[in-house]
Amino acid sequence: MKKRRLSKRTLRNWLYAYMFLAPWIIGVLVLVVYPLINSFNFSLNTVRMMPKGMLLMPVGFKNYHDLFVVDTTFLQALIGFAVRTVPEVAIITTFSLVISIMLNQKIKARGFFRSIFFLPVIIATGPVMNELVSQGAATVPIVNAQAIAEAVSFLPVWVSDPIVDMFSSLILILWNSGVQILIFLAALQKVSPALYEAAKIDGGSGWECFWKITMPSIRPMILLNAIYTVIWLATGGQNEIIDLIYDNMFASSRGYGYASAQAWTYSVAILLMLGLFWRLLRVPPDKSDKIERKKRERLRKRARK
Amino acid sequence: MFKKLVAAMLALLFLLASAGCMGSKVEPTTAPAEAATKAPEAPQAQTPESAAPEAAPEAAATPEAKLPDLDASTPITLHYATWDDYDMAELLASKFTEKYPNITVVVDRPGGTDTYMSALLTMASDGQLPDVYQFLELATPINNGWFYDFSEYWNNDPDTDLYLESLKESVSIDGLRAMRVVGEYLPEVAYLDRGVFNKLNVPMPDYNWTYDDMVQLVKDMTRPDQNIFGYNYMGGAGPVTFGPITQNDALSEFGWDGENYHLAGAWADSVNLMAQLQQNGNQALQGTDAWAAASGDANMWPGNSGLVAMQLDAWWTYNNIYTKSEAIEKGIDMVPYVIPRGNGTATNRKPAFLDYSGISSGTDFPREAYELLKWMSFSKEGWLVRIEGFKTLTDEAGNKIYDLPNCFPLINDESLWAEYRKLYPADEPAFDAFFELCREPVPLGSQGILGFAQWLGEVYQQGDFNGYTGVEAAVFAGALNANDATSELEEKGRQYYLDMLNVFYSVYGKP
Repeated sequence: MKKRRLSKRTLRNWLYAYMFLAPWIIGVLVLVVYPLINSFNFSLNTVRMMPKGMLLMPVGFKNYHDLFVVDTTFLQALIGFAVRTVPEVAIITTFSLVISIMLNQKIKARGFFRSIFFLPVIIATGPVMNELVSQGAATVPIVNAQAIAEAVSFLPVWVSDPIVDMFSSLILILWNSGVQILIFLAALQKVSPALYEAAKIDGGSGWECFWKITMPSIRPMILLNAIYTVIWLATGGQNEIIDLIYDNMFASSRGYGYASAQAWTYSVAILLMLGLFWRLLRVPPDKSDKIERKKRERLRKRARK
Repeated sequence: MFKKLVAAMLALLFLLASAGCMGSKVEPTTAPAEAATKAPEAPQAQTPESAAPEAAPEAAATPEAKLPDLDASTPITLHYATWDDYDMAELLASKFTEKYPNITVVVDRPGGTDTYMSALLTMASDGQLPDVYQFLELATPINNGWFYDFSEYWNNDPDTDLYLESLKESVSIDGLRAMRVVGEYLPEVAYLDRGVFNKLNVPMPDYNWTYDDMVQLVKDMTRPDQNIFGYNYMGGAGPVTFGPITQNDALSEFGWDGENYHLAGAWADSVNLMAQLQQNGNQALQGTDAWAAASGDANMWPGNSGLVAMQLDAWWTYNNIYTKSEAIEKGIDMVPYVIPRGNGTATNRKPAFLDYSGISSGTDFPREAYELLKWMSFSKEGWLVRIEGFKTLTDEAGNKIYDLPNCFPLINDESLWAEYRKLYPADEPAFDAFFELCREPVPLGSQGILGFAQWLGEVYQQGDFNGYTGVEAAVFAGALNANDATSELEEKGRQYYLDMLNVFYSVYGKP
């Protein structure tokens, strides 16, 4: 077989490409891959910050064992987070969809309303959000938390508490919808008006158009928004697990090793939740698409021969 | 050509940047474990293994006791870390250098209370733990082997004889090795509002009052008809904190005797008393209807309302609030009383906010670091500089920094206390009594007891007691008699203590 020699020009192009990619590659290696490996290594050790540097003492999976068996606070917080997140994702996604459909209509001051819904993303972050929450601005006065607590009192505490919490911070959930609204809005604007026109000519109602045209068109965006929301909630400033990990890292007697084990367990839990949402919301591949693809491959192979 | 140049420079820039990051990475080392257990490199220093019980830090220095000489020729730089009071630290550092010209002291400012310990941890991870450092809780320095065993210096230092007797016990963590001293001492205080006493025509109590006197006073001074409440307290300064210390002659909170908690009796009585005083309306309880009706504002802080006869609080509240015009204009005239002594007890121990300091086990100059530790904490010479600083230090705008001192001397030296007294108003006799009666401070649990913070958080405050979260909540709700919870709490507290002691031994070795 004849060995193909790369031309000077191709080599130069590769060089340029990798040179421009270098910042990203170095960034990922130094700021993502290295910390990831390091933190996993920490999680298998007791880490001591001795006066002359760091000392790692291997303990195997003891840190993981402790966080599941000895210190149940983390496990409770994790369950609480999962129980709270599932309905919150549903609420945020539905709310964003409804608002984006409304904002996609031809209404007066549409730009102004779009800005209003996106504003919390810019303003209500970090300390501002914490301050608003501490002042009770995240609650809806009309929602009777006591009545909700009584209504769900038959459930175990680890299930009922997150539900009550969710209702008491309803506003907060809605504030977290800015980006999702934007994503849905972009998807809605990509749907061709011709489809709606054709449907209307055939006598389709608005309701039918929504289910037969809008929903199938934006379905991939529902999955995207659900994933975005899980990540947002899992890493946001209001997340008590992040605080717990941080506290264990610095302030308690447990240290970096234990905190790293918590962080890895948390990451796995988030991945599982993402997997769950992906399973529920993914768009199944169309069978006819599959057949078509196979046909094309067969033809290509034949042409090569 | 231009494109090539830009691309090459970009790549070089990022290579250099990443090389720079890698260059300053944490130096993983296994040496510190030995440094912690064998600490001193200096010839005078003592290994834990050789620390004999008879060399206990409590032992008084013999007349022949002499500290090894300081190195007066080698240029030395020592780092000192504190979380507050930087102007005073800088003044002390400069005066220390004046005395020992070959030693330069750099004051590190890792951050305020919220970030101080985590910043120290980060410095340690980079091998940069300061030679002498204040610390805000015990677990971190223990876990990470930060303490240097300075028993040999401590035991041979005649100045340590003067160190306040009640604090000598806490110099050691295992009862054998000297590892820390108090850097700053601020007492807990019972502020009695003379304005309220005068209004009700009730005489002020004796300065050397007892626990029972205090309880009676709270009850007598409660006058619902005049909207006057008997007392209010800051969290951590209530009867449940000081009762078990003063009533048991204890070494720390919850009747701690150095090895066990003693909750039966004084603690149970204190919790029950607090519950009773709250239920009977003796306590001004912020946020309640009763307080709203009396003060007109449910959210007003009772301690600065002029409607409370006694406010149990910290020393800093006097400087920060009660000497300010806002309080004076309200007719508030708070007189500082020491926390009442126990009924018929042998000592006059009282809880205090004590910030400790230690020497890094990684220091290259342990003898000099010990001298700096003393200077920054309890030495008379250092304190005379400090007193001068209280009088003269000004901020950038030229305003005096200290209206009154923000901490108390740590030695029993009458001439020093006399100098200190001069910093306060001469016409207020309460200060004379206070400075006489405040010389047996003991640490709160977080600084005084191993495993305390975890026990308090996980069991005392978060444990399930008859369906209530936290034992005090259960007692206050009337769902639990405090006496029924004592043995369980003592047992678990002991276990947390032993667990932490084992960690201590695993890091520093068991003598």
